[in-house]
Amino acid sequence: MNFIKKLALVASLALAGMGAAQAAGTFIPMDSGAPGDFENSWSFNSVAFGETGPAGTTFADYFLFNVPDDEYVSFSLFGSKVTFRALDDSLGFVLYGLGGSPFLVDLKTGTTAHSIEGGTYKLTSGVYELDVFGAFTRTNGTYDVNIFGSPVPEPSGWALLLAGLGVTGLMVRRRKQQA
Amino acid sequence: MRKMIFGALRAPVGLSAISIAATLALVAVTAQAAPLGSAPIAPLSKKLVDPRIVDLGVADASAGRDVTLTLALRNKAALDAFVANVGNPKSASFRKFITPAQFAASYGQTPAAVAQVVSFLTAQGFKINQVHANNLLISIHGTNAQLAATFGTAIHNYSLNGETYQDSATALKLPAQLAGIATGVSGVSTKAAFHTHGATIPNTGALAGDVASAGTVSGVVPPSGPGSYTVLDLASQYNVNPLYGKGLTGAGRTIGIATLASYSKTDVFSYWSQLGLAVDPNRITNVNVDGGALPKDGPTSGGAGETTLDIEQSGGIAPGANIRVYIAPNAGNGFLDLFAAAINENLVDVLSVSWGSPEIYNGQSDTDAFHAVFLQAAAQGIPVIAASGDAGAFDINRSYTYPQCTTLLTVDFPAADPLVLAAGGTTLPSSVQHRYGPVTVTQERPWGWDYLRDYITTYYGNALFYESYYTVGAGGGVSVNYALPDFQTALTGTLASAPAQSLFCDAAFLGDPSTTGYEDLVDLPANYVGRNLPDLSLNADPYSGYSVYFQNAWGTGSGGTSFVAPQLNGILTLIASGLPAGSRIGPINPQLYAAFKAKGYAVGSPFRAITTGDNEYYKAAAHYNPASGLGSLDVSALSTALGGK
Repeated sequence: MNFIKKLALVASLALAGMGAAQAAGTFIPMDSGAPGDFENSWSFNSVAFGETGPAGTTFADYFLFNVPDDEYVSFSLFGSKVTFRALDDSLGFVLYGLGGSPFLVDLKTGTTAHSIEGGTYKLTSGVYELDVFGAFTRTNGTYDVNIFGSPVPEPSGWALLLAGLGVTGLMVRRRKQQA
Repeated sequence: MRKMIFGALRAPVGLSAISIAATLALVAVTAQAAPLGSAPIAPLSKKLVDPRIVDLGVADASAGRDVTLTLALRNKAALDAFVANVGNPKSASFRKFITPAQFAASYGQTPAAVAQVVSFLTAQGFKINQVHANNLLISIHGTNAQLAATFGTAIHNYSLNGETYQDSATALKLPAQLAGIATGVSGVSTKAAFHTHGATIPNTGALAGDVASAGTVSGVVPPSGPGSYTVLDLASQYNVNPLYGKGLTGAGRTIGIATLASYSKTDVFSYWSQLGLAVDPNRITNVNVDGGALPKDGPTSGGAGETTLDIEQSGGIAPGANIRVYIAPNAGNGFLDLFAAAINENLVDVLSVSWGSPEIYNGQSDTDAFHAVFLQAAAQGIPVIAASGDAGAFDINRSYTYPQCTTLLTVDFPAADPLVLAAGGTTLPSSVQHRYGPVTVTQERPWGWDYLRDYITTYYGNALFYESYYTVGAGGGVSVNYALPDFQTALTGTLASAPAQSLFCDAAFLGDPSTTGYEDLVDLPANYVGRNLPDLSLNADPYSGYSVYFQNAWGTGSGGTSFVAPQLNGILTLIASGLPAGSRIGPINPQLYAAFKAKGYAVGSPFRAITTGDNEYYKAAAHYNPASGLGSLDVSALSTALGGK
């Protein structure tokens, strides 16, 4: 789906949803990090939010997070007994920017796999919402979300960025192997 | 976390459905002509209402207080054109200013309209304290019962962060008898709305002694260096000395300081005398507005430090100038009356203020009322200067601290008003010895303490960095209340407001027992083509900052854009003393930007490019940028550019 179509879809559904009650999302504070380690990251498990259940249970979870600085931000979701696809929909996750003029950053088609790699986005300072959709394939399924931010580098810092993205890719592969 | 069967792509929960509904509702409201006498005084849609406020119930109906009724400008388009011309060196009307009486006659309300308002208010039981000379403000005294009856709202007691105050329970409504004349009421809230823009080197707890010289107190002038500079050092740094060499001292000119706290004259005269500056012992005149400072803002208060440094800095740079210090209460209509008093007197050549608050605290009628007074200042030739703030790009996070709240790109008022010169801040080159080693800044950069991030997080941890160093720096960014002014059009480096700007705060931080998690307090528009600030920057970082003489002693390690506003006041007063007698500089921003567009950073330009660093978000560059504005100054060249000596 091209971006214009996505925006049109979001706009139409937003208007259609005006009469519906909207529940608040869950705000995810940034990981505190170790002294001197100032990379921005957010890591959490669905159990922390009571998100587990018997086979066949679907979920739609909405996470809010704040990017203080401009960041290259990558997203990875790793499921255990989970498929990241709502039963009656094709969505996997959706990323929005909030503020007075909410906008769609990207959405990912759902998958029957146990993980989704959301790609890397350059996000400017602000508040964003990550929506995650899926279903538990077996009882007591859970999933992890890892959001990893790396600073937008000065021209001399591109090597560091590439190294950071490499680490993220390595984490994804390891998680896949564990799932 | 709720579970649901998901049917379709949905709008973000953060606000979309609500905000879209609100937007459509607003469109519906504004598309209709509201009946006179029932229209609430509209706040800006962005105005932040603090959820920590606790309603304590209806206030004592017999309690009396002062408020100021604001009246509509007449001939607004003509006034805008007039101000544009008197600030345009290419106009035949350049610097042909008018008096307060002429301003009132052309742009204030007519005597008949003012009499109509006075008659109405008197009939409601109000006492008329003052009809201001501009015919735009009427200060009155009345009881809460009279306010409630006249403006259609109950007055309640509230508390916030331990402070109690009174305010209207609902939006005020202007009586039909005032329709077309009055625009609002300033000062219904008695809350202290403004704070100083000073900063010091963190020197408590784990950071005590991190920089050995921080906060030292001495009976003699501290040795010159980063953290203990004086106006003499400033004159060298920014090439003021050639003006002194030409005999300029500010003589024959008057500095205006607008402030909300009192001070001790002994301190400021000691500062000048110990620096060897010869000054007239009768140079200062205090002007109390609305009774002067509140008791809590007396001469030993923190606010007194602000007033003290404002006078020391401005009067030290222009030692021959007279100084008028306007002092008002930090409550109610004090801040508006403060500017009105100074501008209606028309005795000062430059006016500066180092107090402010996030622009999104203001409603539309407040914004308009202040803007009208600033238009008057421009028409009379008085440049107005304000500190741009000390929370870097995140002005509001000074109060709504990170990470308890999300970051929100915001700017400060009154610096955000395009008629005001927004004074930003830099860090001077320095190598400051800290407990665990030196931190070096190699060239002048915007003040933003992220340059200390590696040092602080390595030796003191991330939490302390967030607590004491994050969202600290020179205020700068994009206004969402004021459109991009003409003088900033076609200017490389200006930006529109950023997307994704929402302020969420932890309910526990807000003290809200009704919920857990985070609450959405305000959402700002994206891509608004707003006024960019600051306009100019000078050294403001406490680590490369200044000494202050306060309470009979010298203290080091002070900074903040609070220093820059009065420094620019002194600089412009000094330059004005080189203009022909009777002339003033006038609207300063159009002249600055015209000079920049003509000269850029070429040899002989008044502007020095700040090309590296940031104010914790916006980055410096060799063009205009919201971190340092047009850059720092060569004051001698600025004098030439402004037609001075």
